[in-house]
Amino acid sequence: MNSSTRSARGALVTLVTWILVLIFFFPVLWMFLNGFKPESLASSINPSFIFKPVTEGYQLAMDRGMAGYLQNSLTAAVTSTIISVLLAIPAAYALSIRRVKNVQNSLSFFISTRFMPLAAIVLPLFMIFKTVGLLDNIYVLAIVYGAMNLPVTVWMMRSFLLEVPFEIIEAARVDGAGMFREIVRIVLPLVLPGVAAAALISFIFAWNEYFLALLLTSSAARTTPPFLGSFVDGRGQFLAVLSAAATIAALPVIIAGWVAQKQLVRGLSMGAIK
Amino acid sequence: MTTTATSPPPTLHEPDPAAAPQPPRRRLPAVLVAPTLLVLVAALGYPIGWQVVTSLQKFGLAQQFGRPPEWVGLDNYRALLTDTDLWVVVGRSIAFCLICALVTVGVGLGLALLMGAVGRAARLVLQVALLLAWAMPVVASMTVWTWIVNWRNGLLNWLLERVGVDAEGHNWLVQPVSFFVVAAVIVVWMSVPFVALSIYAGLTQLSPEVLEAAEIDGAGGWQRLRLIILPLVRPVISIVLLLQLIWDLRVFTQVKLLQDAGGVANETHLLGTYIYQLGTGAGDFGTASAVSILMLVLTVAISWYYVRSLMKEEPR
Repeated sequence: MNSSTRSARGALVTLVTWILVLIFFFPVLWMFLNGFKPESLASSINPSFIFKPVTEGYQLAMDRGMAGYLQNSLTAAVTSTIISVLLAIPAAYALSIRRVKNVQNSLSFFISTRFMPLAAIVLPLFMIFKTVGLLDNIYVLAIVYGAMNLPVTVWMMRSFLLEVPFEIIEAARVDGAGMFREIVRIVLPLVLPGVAAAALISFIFAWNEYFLALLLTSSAARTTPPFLGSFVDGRGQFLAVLSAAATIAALPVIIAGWVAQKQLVRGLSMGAIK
Repeated sequence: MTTTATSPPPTLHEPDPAAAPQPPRRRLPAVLVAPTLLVLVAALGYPIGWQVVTSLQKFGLAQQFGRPPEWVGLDNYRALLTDTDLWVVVGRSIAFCLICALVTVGVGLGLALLMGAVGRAARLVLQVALLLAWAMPVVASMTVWTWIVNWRNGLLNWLLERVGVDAEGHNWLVQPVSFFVVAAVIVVWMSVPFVALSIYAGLTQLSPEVLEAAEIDGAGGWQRLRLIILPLVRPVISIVLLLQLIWDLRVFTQVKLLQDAGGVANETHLLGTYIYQLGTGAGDFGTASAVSILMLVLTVAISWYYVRSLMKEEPR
C-alpha cells in the first residue's frame, strides 16, 4: 500500500468520525440552542441556527416549579448513591479480597438481579407503597433506586478491588491492621477512582430514571424526568421551555461525564467486561 | 470449578481462605455481604413474590380499594394463552429487541474499530460525544427526538422537503411500522455509546505486536479484523450483545414518550408499556402480573446463558 492511498484512507476515516460526532452531538447541541430561543422561533417550521438568545425558556421552566423537581431529583440521586455505595463496599470486599465461601453463587445472584425487567417489579412496588401510604415519598424512591443500582455497583467495585495487589493487603495485615482499618485506610484509597466511577454511574442512573419516578411519585416527590415527560405531546409545542428544562436536567450529568470521562469509560466497561 | 485443578498449590504468599482456618474470621465476609443480599431480597424478591401471588388472583380496580382478591388459580395464564393481543406484543417485543440489539452491536463495533483507526484528537472528540449521548437523561434526549420526527415542525420532514420529497405534514408515528423504525433508531442511538466504549476498551487490550506481526506476514485489513481482532474481542462482544438483548427487551421510556407524542398506543405496545397500561390504565393487576411473570421468564431464559458463560470465564 503506497503512502498516498494510505493518507487518503486516513482522511476518509477522519471524515466519517466527524460525521458520527455530529450525529451523536446534534441532539445535545439542538436542545442547548432551543433553550435560548423565543418560543415562536423554537417551534417554527424552519429550524434556525443563528438567533438572538433569550432566557425566556429558562424563566418559564422555573415558573413551572422546576427548582422543586430538581431538588427532588438531587435528593433521590444523592441518597440512593450513598445507600448503594455504603452497602457495596463491604460486599465487594467480601467478594474479592476476603472471600465468602460461595463467591460464585453470590455473584451469580448479583448479576441475575441486574437483569430484572423493571416492568416486572414496578406494579408490586406501586401497590405495596400505595397500601402503606408511602407513594409520592422521595426517600422511598431513593431507597428503591439504591437497591436497583446495588448489583451494578457491587459488580463494578469488585472488579476494581480485584486489582489491588495482595502484597499491600498482606503487609497491612502483618502490621496488625484490623479489617475495618484495612478497608478504610489501605483498600479504599487505592480504589478511590473506581469508587468514584461507581458512585457517579449510580448517581446518573438515579438522576435520569423515568419509569419508577413516573409510577411512584405524583406531586410532592416528583422528579425531573417525569416533569419533562409531561411536556411531550403530539403538537411539538413548548419546545423552548422544554429544551431549557431538559438542558438544566442534563447539565449535571454532562459536567460529570466531562470531568470524569476516563473513570466513567473504565467503570462502564469494567461493569460489562469483567 | 475447573480452576481448582489448574491453580498452583497455595504458597506462603497466597493465603487460601479455605486452607487457613481462622474460626472467628470465617463468618466475617458473610456478614459483609449480608446487608446487600437482604436489601436485594427485600427490594426484588418481595415484589416478585407479590407478583406471583397476584398473577393467581383476580385483582382489579375493586381490589385496589380494599376488596379481598379472589383466588383464580391459573385462570389469568390460561386467558393469556388465548389472548392474541398479548402474543402480538410478545412477538413484536422479541423482534424489536433482536433487531435493535444486533444493529446496536454492529454499529458499536464499527465505531470501536473507527476509534482505533482514527487520530487521537478525533477519537477524543468522538468519545466525548458518545459519553454525552450516553449520559443525557433519556427524557431529555427524547424531547429532541420527538421534535425531529414531529409532523408539523420536525427536522426530518423539513430535510425531506429540502431534498424534494413531499413529506409535509407526514406523521411518522401514526403507522406502526414507521413508529418502530423511529423507536429503533432512537434506542440504537442511545445504546451505541455504551457498546462502542466497551468494545473499544476491549480492543485496547490487544497487544500491538500481534497485529504488527500479522501485518508483516501480509495479512490485509479485512483478514486482520476477521482472523485476529474479532476472535480476541469476541467475549466482550457476546457480553454486550446479551446485555443489549436484555435491555432492549424491557425498553419503556422511549416507546411511552413516542406514544405520548402521537403514536397510537394500542398498536405500538411493547411488553413494558403493555404491562404498564394493563396495570395503571386498565387496573387489571392480575393479568398484568401474569404478563410480568412471563417477561421475567423470558429475561431469565436470555440471561441464563450469559450468567453461565460469565461464571466460566471468572478467574481464580
